[in-house]
Amino acid sequence: MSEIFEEIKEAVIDGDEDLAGELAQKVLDENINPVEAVQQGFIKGIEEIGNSWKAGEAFLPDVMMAADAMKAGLAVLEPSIAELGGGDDDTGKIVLGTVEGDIHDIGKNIVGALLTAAGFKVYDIGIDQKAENFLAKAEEVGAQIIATSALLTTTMNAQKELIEYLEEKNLRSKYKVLVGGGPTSQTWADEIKADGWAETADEAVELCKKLIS
Amino acid sequence: MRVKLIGCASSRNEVEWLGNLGETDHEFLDYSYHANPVKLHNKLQELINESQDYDLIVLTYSRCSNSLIGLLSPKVPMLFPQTHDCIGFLLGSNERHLRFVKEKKGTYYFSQGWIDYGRTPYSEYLEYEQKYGTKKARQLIENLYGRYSKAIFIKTPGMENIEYYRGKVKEIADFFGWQLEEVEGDVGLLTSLTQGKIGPDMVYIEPGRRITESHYNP
Repeated sequence: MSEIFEEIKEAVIDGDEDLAGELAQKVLDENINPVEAVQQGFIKGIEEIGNSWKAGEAFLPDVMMAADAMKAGLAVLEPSIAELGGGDDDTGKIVLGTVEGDIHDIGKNIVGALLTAAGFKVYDIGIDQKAENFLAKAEEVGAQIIATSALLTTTMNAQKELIEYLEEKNLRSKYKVLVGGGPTSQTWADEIKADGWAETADEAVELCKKLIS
Repeated sequence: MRVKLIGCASSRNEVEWLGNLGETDHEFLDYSYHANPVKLHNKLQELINESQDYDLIVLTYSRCSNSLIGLLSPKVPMLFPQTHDCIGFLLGSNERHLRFVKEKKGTYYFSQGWIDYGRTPYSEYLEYEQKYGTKKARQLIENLYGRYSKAIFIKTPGMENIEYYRGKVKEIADFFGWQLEEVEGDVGLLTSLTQGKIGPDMVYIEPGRRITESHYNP
């Protein structure tokens, strides 16, 4: 069984979407535990490429392709994981999006893929989203976390506006609000009274686990 | 007055065209720091430390993803634009830049320097095509730039061979299916900076004081 996990890991590292999807299908066909396939295959692969990237040995396109490969595999496995009861309501629901005025979503998409792999139910509302759209989605799905991305100093203020909007609606305490993106920092998160900030996608996953537990 | 100007290649042409006080030493950094705020911060601190025998340090970097926050020059004052990035100071003011941000969402801006020294989205595509093949390259480039819808070419004074740059920007816009627009740059802010003059949309920091977020929001 560990052989297929190793193959999955390699497919993710190579950014081979087709192979990742095929291997995920093989997991289902051979009645291998899909949760284990995610944890010991897909996540291991993305972790390895992530570490290479941090060390300057891999480039952003490599990470993007690895995330796409992981997503392709997760899409195949998700229904059976949900059936098993893993990755369902008890793990947590997260509304994720890029703030109003900002159209950047590479980091957000990688965060979304890692959160999904970690078992969270992620509702990605996309780019250029107003505060009210974050809240409407969170209310609709019963999310615990609202995670917002901003890549520009010209748009990061919309993260602050989102928090103010929640305060206005008397719903601030209902949600944990996370901020991320290139120009953001822990100082920024503290200043706007966000519940957390993460520099990297894997730190974002750890943060969500901590906030929901 | 001995001035050290530490600048980004994105506005190098304008700075060189404007000339300087005659006693300014220029050092231009590679455009690629743009994508790595931590690396840019560390490099700037290193150069600031090496420039402590000047009378003034001018940076043609602005917020640049908050890279400047935390920088400290122990003995020499520093002067830099209070804009968000080079787009702001090539457009001449924060006010004009923020108006553009609001009115022209999804815009990729090009300066002469970005074309001369930078890696344009189209050259990036060509690199990926060679490395990963056409299908993957298209997918990557769609993920990276698919949300943009417009290219704006900032024309600045002193530009020679303007048709060449227009052609380059048009080639990129056509490849991505973006609308194309040309706007007049305004080098007023950059002129004051290169002359060491303090004016609007500029930050002057006394020696020994760290750059903080509050310097951008007085």
